[in-house]
Amino acid sequence: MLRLLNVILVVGVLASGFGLYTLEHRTRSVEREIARVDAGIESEYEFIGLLNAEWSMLTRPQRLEQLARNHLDLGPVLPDQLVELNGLADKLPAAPAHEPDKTPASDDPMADLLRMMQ
Amino acid sequence: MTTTNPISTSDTELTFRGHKRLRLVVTGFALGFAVLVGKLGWLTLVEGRQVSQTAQFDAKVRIPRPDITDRHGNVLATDIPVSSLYADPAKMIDVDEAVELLTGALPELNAQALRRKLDKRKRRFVWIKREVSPGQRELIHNMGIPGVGFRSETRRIYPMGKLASHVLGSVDVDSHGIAGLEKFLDDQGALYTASLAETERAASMPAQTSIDVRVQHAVTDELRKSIAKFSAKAAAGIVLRSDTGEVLSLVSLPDYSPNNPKDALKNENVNRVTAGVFELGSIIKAVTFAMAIDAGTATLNSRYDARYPLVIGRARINDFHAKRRILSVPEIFMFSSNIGTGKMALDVGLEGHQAFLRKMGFFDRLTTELPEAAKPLLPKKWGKLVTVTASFGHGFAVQPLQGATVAAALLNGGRLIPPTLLRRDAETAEALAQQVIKPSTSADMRYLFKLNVDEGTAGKAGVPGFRVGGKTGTAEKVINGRYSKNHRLNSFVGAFPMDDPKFVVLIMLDEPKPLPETHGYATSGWNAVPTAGKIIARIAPLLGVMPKFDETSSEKLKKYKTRVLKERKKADTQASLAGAGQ
Repeated sequence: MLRLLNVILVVGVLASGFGLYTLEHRTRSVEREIARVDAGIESEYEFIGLLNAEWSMLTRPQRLEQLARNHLDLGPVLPDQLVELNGLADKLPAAPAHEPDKTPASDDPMADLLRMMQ
Repeated sequence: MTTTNPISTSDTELTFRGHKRLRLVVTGFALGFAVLVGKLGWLTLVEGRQVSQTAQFDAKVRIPRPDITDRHGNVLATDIPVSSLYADPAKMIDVDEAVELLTGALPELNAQALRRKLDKRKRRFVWIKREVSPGQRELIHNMGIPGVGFRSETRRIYPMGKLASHVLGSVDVDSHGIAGLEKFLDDQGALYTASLAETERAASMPAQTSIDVRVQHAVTDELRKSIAKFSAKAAAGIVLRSDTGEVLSLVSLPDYSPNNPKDALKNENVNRVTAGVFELGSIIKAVTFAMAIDAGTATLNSRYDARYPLVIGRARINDFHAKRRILSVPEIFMFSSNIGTGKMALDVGLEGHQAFLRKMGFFDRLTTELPEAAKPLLPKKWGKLVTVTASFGHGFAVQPLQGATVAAALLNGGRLIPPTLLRRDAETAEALAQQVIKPSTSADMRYLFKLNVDEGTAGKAGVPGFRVGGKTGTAEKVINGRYSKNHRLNSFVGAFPMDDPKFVVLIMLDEPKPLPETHGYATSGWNAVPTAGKIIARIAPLLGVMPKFDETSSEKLKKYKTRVLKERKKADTQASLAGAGQ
């Protein structure tokens, strides 16, 4: 009777020990996974921060003004160029009269293009 | 057998059994200790080095700094991760190969110096290069050189460069704020700073300023042009929201790049808007007018005799644009008459005048988030003459930001709201607001400001449709203890749109020189005022102010457009000439 109890207890100890170690092992691997993912998230955030900084550097008004000056034929807005949506109808230029194409379109668009280039 | 009484068993049997048990226990303990000793030895001898090394690297913990953004979320200051390359010479296998590979990846390294560093086999840590670019980092990482590693650090950068440098301030090498908002963040305590920049980034909050980068740039750009045009020494500009006290733009020129913190401490780069005090001159007259109208000693229909200089004791107060006649209150404002303003202040009385200036906050140091805040310079004794000079802005000096704050209060319906450089909502502003003058007085002030742009000295600040109002100021600077006729500090304070002034603009030019095209004049109307006009023309559309036109404005608009387009053409030709010359 006592011997049976002992055997059960020993087996129980071994089994619980094994269970504990497996659990610990699993926990550790999950922890490692979490740490890895955390590090990944952290580096993504760092990258986002870096991209934000770069965006901010590229869109700084000094640079945009210079680019606009060099590449666009636009100037600062004059007061009468600002129109509210309600007043838009008065400011629109008259719709251009629709003119049908003078040259009748032929079957061969490529030939038209070549003729135009000549 | 097991339950035998121990007394009945013989002595020999007892000792024998005792020995057997003892041996078992001793062996058990010995085994247990052997395991412990083994593990301990493993930890200290084998894994130990690694532990101490990582600890050494992580010892320097930095407080994370929050990003600083403008009111629309554009990043003004941020931390970027940088990698620094180090080596552990003791772990190096082939120094020559390592030197060859490293100089290949980083051409700027000196091969000889590097070899000398890496040959010190006893050293466990040497820096090879601080702040390696991500591309180079990847390259070196892939080479797999033994004994070489990266340590990540952060560096504070200001992507917008010089823009808003006086607002942002700067940090030292250890990421501690030394000026501006950066210092403010540190002064709030590490906890506050860290709470904004949570290490858990998802919860991190940037410190959002009230600055609008577009407005900030427009003001900076126009002031820079004016400095060049009028050969001025310095300039300052403020754009303030009169309903919340938020500073949309704070410019002080010359400025510096916060990426280069040494420049922040140079004397000429001081923040003139808050760290300096100036006699604001005639723009203070607006305060005197508001006081007299609010006290009821004057109305818009009152008249004052400006035929003769005002004599107080041995001092004679005269007018710059002397009219030598009886002036109405709006005329005193438009002609900026010292005599008239002095008499208005005397009518209120010395006590009343002081009490009013105190109520407006001119006697106290204005504190905002910026640590650079100068105390006002006030007259030691207050007499009749002091009241008269103070009524037109002489004899006491305040921060320009104080002037803008009070101007906002005079125009926004009489509510004095302390200015801020951080984002603020309407409710908070409402709670902080203090009613200092009657709304009816404020309405009269709006009328005077508008009239002065439409018909008075501030005409060149007008932009047709945007309903600008303003007051000019030309203060003579004190040089060697005397007011100098040739050294001026010119200013303009204005607001728009005048039917509901949301935005207050204050411009200062330090010692602008007369030009042939200004007919030899160097008073405010010829330099500070047109500068303000150009700024308002640029920022009003950005701030969502819609122009309104009536029948009278079409002629003005036409004139204005011809002038602006002519100026633009001239600037373009100059730019293309300069481009061709290069």
